[in-house]
Amino acid sequence: MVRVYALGVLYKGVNSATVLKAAYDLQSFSFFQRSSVQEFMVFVSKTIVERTQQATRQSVKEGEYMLQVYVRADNLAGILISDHEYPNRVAHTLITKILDEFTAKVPTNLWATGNETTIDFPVLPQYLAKYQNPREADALTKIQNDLDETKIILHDTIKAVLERGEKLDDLVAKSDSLTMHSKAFYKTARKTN
Amino acid sequence: DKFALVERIIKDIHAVFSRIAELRSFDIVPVDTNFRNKSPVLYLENCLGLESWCIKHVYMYCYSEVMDRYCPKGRRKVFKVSSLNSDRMIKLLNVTLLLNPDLSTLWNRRRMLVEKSMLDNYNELHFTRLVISRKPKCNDAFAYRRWLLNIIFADKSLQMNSIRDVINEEFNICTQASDRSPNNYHSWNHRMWFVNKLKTLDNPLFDINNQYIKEYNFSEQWTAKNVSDYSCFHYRQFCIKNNYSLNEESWKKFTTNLNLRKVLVKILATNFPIDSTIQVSEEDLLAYSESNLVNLLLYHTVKNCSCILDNVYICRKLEIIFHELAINNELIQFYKQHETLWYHRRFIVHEIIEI
Amino acid sequence: KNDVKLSGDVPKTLLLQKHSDYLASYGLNKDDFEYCMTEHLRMSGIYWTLTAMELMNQSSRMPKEEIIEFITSCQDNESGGISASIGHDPHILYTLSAVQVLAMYDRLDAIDIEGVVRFVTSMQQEDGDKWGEVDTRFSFCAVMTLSLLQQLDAINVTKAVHFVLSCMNFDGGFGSRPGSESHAGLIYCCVGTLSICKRMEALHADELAWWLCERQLPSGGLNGRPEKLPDLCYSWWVMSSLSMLNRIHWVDKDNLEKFILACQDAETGGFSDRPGNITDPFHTLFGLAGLSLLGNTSIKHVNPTYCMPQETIDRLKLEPQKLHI
Ligand SMILES: CC(C)=CCC/C(C)=C/CC/C(C)=C/CC/C(C)=C/COP(=O)(O)OP(=O)(O)O
Repeated sequence: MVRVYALGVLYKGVNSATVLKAAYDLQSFSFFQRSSVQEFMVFVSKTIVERTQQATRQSVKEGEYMLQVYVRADNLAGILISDHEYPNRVAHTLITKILDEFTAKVPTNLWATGNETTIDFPVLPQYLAKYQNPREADALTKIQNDLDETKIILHDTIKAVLERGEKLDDLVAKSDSLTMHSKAFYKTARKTN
Repeated sequence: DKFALVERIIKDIHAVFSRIAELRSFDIVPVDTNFRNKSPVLYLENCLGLESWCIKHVYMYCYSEVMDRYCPKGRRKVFKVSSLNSDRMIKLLNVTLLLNPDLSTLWNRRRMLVEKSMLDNYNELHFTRLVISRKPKCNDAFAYRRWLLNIIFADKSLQMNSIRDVINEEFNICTQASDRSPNNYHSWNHRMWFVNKLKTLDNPLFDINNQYIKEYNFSEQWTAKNVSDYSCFHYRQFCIKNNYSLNEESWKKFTTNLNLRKVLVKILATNFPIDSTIQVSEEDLLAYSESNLVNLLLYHTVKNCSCILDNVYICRKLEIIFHELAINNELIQFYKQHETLWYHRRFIVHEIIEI
Repeated sequence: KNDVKLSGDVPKTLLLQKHSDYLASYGLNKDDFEYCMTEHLRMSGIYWTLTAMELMNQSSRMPKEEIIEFITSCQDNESGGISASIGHDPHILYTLSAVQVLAMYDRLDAIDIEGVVRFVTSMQQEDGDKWGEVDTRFSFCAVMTLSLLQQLDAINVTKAVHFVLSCMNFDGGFGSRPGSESHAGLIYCCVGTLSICKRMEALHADELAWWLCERQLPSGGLNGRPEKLPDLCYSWWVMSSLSMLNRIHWVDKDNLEKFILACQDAETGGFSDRPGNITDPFHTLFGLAGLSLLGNTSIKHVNPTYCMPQETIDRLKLEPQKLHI
């Protein structure tokens, strides 16, 4: 299955990352799971952006998902969450394009203090829909051929991205941004895996 | 009080079931404890949910009652269901099967109730939709649908409108189940069974050829997006074979937007062996009749083979198969290292060799 | 590629004692939710557990008389079929399991054999089960049940073979119905049917064996279809088929053995589908039976067609066919 679940633009602040804009496609999840899945995607996006060096691209496998991150030198970050089949190169080209557009549309001084309600950047849902089919995006990758695939750091699990001694389970348990419901959901998802 | 609690849950679920026709999905929602002290039965946007903390109690309670009261050993035949106790039985069957849809025996009880007209065919289709939304690989639910559909299609007075509804719904359910669970053996198998069932549908207003084309196009899109799902490639192969036998009129319709001949001719024109005496341009080839094309291709084979060839049929088959080869080339280039794409290619090569 | 990586700390030796303890205590708590959720396949559960115990030469730890009594009480007088548990409907799958268990105990007298034969033959007359479902699994169960009862002639064997062959695909594999996708589990059923009916020549042995050995992944484990995760139970479905085809050496045996051993749980005992997952009797049987096919000498010899100890098959004087190369 080729599928993009989420597309987001974040800002990596000194202590934490903030979502500036995001779009989700959660149709493939059962209705009652959607809000938890979305919360979780936000949580993981922030966690990863916070732990990614500036000017770095990473592709991180976590369970059935693939998390693609790019943190630019100016701390603007893009994230794409997909399944394993979505080609890394296409994902990163798309992220670059979105960050470029974001930079052109949204003044730099709003980044550090902005959030999803204050930032005006409505195109993400369209991109999410259009690039569900990566072949659609193939034309794009052909134009932007400057992306060097070897520069993407690949990780087999999110553990590799976390700091020494950190565990995703602990981070989830400690998090304030996840509701009780989502934590329960996370626990059962782990068990049935 | 567990007893009262479960009874209340049964009642709440039953209330939601009054809108079974609109219900889209069922799911167990992970909630560890009953901290809200409210009913664990959720109903939102046509979706039914049940909080996980109550599952054990509800299941054990309903399962034992259903088995004790309605499945007494050795007295199945003698056992009479009356409209009096069938209500209670249906409520328990609903809850038990939602929680554990692999209980063949309970599906059989439903069959019995359908045969006695105590359950309605169409409502039963809705019920299985709910079960499949949570357990997309539930073979018992698909088998039950097949049984129901056989009954429904045996009714000769069925109107074309209803037939269309049933058909759309069936394909939708298969698509959803295949989407929820990759490589879903049961949903694709069921889909094949259904197309084969439609072949036997004897209604002048229904044209199976249209259905072949629809499914062919559907599978083309689906495989392009699910490149590691061999079950859908297998289904695609089924669709391809169905398309070989399209009738004249449908073939025309099918190929208007899809220039299959051009694909074939292009591959031919660029692949003549260098030392071959015949070299024909693409334009010339396009003007050839089916017979001439096939003769050209078979030029090198045993000349006096006694087999009777239907050149038009062979040519079509070639067109379809070479179109498939072109798609496969493209996918293989785009998605690297996918076993399924190469397995599908084996099928393509096999079909070419067969000719 | 869809596969797992074996970590360094997985079990590397066979923990027979643990498995025997695990199976002996399985289901002792009958009020357990899990136990209740699986009641509808209890008869097969008994078959998996007993066969695994037999292969470890530990079957004396099972409550023999209780099991036999249970089986007797699961036979339906009317149809002659046997159900998974009391109150459930008789079914060919559980009829087979029951007959297998009684055959191992040498106690086929505990059921009405004529009744079972009647039940199985009625399925062929109706072309599928009572509700019209047709499946190569059912053909296999029917043929195996009757052969264990020495009554294979009670059905039209040619017709059964013909149906199985009509499910063969271009890749040499088999699915559940004509035209269905090839699946290692169903290949076992079809090859097994042909083995019992002694019609193995009808197979496209090389194509089929090729497809089967392509099921092996870099981790050593086997999957049941292209691009699926490895699952221990395919160590049985694939390897038994290859064994009947006499081409077991087409897979990397050492690597497969490592994978099977890695699926053991060193704490609870038992095997799971993949390393680190929860164990169950089903995977425990197929882990042990798989190791037996690979030639492990601390486990009894298993028969690849019947998935029962070879000594039982010999006692019953059954000679399922194996291909000669
Ligand atoms: C005597 C023995 C050992 C067995 C009796 C005969 C039987 C019942 C064999 C069953 C063989 C088997 C595993 C069949 C599989 C049927 C099937 C269509 C499975 C597909 O379901 P999924 O849940 O998708 O399984 P996978 O994901 O593993 O393919």
